[in-house]
Parts: sequence; C-alpha cells; structure tokens
Amino acid sequence: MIFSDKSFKEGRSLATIFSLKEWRTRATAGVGGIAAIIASWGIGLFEERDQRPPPTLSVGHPIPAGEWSLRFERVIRSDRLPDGTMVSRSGREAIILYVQATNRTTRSSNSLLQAVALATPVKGVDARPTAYLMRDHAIMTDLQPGLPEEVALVWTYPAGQRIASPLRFDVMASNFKPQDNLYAQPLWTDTHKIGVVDLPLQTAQGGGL
Amino acid sequence: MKRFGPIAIILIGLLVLAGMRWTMPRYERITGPIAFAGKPDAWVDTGNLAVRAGPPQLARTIRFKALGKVEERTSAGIWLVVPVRSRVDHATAHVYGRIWVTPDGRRYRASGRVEDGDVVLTGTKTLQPGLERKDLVVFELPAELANGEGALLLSEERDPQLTAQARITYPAAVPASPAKLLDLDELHAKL
Repeated sequence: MIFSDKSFKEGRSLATIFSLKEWRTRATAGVGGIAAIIASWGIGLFEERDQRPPPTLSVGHPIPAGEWSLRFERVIRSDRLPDGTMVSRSGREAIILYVQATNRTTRSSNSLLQAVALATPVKGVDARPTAYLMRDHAIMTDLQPGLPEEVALVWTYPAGQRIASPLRFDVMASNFKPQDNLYAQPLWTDTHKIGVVDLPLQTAQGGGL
Repeated sequence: MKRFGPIAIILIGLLVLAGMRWTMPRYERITGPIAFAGKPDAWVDTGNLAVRAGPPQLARTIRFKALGKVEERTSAGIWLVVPVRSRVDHATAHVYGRIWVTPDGRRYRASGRVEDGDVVLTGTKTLQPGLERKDLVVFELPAELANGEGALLLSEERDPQLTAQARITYPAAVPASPAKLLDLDELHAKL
C-alpha cells in the first residue's frame, strides 16, 4: 500500500507515507515475530531437556505405573509356554517375563499388555506380548481391581539367536483424566515411558537351550 | 448508569452459561444405560431381557465342568457366585454385560477365568424367546468385600449405552464365612 500508485496519485507526501503510526505497526509486527521465534526456540529447548535417560526401576519391588502396580521378578528363555505346551510356531522360542501385577483402577482390565514393552532389539520378535495367568497356567483374561496376580508375559522369536543379557524392558504408564474433553468420561490417556527394568536372562530348566 | 448495562448483560450471560455447565449431566450419564432397578429373588423385566437373581454364594475355591474336564479355580480373594434365571420376550439375545458394583463404586466384570464352564452364564450362552435359562454368574472379588453387599448389573450389551440394564441391589448380609470349595454343577442342579 505504501508504495502503490494510489498513494502517489493521491498526492501524499513522503512524510505521510512513512508516518509514525505506520512505523509503530511495523515495529509491533516485528516484535511479535521475534517473540514467536523465541517462544518456539524455548519450546524446542524444553523438549530437548525432557529427553533425559529414563530411570532404571528396581526389581523385586512394586512399581506404580499408572493403572498397574508391577513387581518384576525374573525373565527366562524357553521353548515351552507357561501353559506347558511347546511354542506352537515351529522354530521359535519364547522370552518369558514373570511379573506380579495389581490392577489399581476401579474396573476390570487387561491393559497390562501395554504396560510392558521389550526394549532390547531381538530379530523377528513379537510386537506385543501374550499374557498368561500363572494361577491357571492359561491365557490371561481381565485382571480384577485390587487382586494381585502372578502373570507371565511371553514374546516369541526365531530360535537360535544370541540374545543380549541383561534384557531391558520399558515400563509404560498412562495418566488418569477424570473427564475427557469430548465425552466427559473418565479416561486413562497419554501413555508414556516411566522407566526401564534390566533383568538377567536365565535359561529354563528342562527346556529351552 | 447507561454504561453498566452492557457489563451487566455480559455478567448475567456468564452466570447463566456457568450454571448450565455445572448442572449439565455428564455425557456419559446422558447416553448411559437405561436402568431397571430390582431386588433379589424377583423378576426384573427390562423390555426384552428379564432376569431373576438369587442369593449370592461365597467360596474360596470353585470347581466346575468345562469342555468335558473338571476344573478347579483358586483365587487371591474370594469367588462370588450368583444364580440367575433369565428369559427373553421377543428377540434372541445374550447377556454380554455382567458387572458387580461394590459399595465403593468399583466395577468387577464377571470373571473370564470360568468362561468355559458349562453352567456359567457367558457370552456364548444364547437366550431364545420362550426358553428360560438358569445359569451362574461368577465374580472374583477381594476378600474384604465378602459381606455380599453390592449391585448386580446385567445387560444385553457389554458396555450398554442407551440400552436397558437390570440393576439388582443386594443389602449387606451377615458375613458368612465363604465355603472352602463350591461345586458349581451341584449348585446349578439344586436351582
């Protein structure tokens, strides 16, 4: 607008074109832009700060992890599943993690499968574990609130691999929101890593390698 | 005085909006189940599904036939077994929603550990119009809830929304010591 033909045609002087008011507008816009740059740089810095190494959690003690309280016990490799059968897909073995899990929520749930992830890379390993309830030696269904249970989490992988020991597991937790934004329902959300657990890999007696 | 008019309108508007926000029932409740309250040992008719729940039994261990085998299930807490008679009026249905609500509001789903039991009411048991069923609904609860107080919620849907749900309220009973071993098939035969 400033250098448009119209301004000149209307016979405005140079002083009007570069009036104090316009310069003030420009300065405000400039300050705003700089503030935005600083803010985004600050957020970037904050996120950088957030990526500190996750704490190593203790073995043999209950760890509160959102919906679950978890006590890590031991991890073995075996060619037998916790229900006593052989790993059904041929040429595979299983990493079996024993944990004691307590449902800390008010509802029956099996979200335990999302609470533990295998962090050590193993070629061809299952993306998600299968859970077995050790009380029944059967596939786990929902765990009931307030009832601690021994659970075995099983990841199968192609046999004959060297697996690093200790094995590392990520412990994930969700935050509780009494009312979600859409339906105002209680919600467990924002699953995040709260730490890692390192366990030495043992070999099962009477089975495995 | 004239200047305060618009301010007053804005304030009143804010108050009205805040009032509506505070008194608005939660979406969860508006679209929640349609409750049909009932008492133990009485039929509760919810439109299609009608249920009649008997007195609950407590046990430390339960034994039942499942897939031709006899299974025994122990528990870290106790088993609560409720006999339920059920029928449907006009359409085939299943009782997918089976929840025990404790006095403090915790919701226990019927145990998946007895899912295969012959006499256990599960999602695989079909209700046909005109054919009444009798089954057992089995819950696993912490031992401190062993006085049998709570409410049994039964519905055709697992998570009923705008669907009928029978709510049978059980008063606190004298805490009877739970049976050491309860045979579900024997209990079912006596119903």
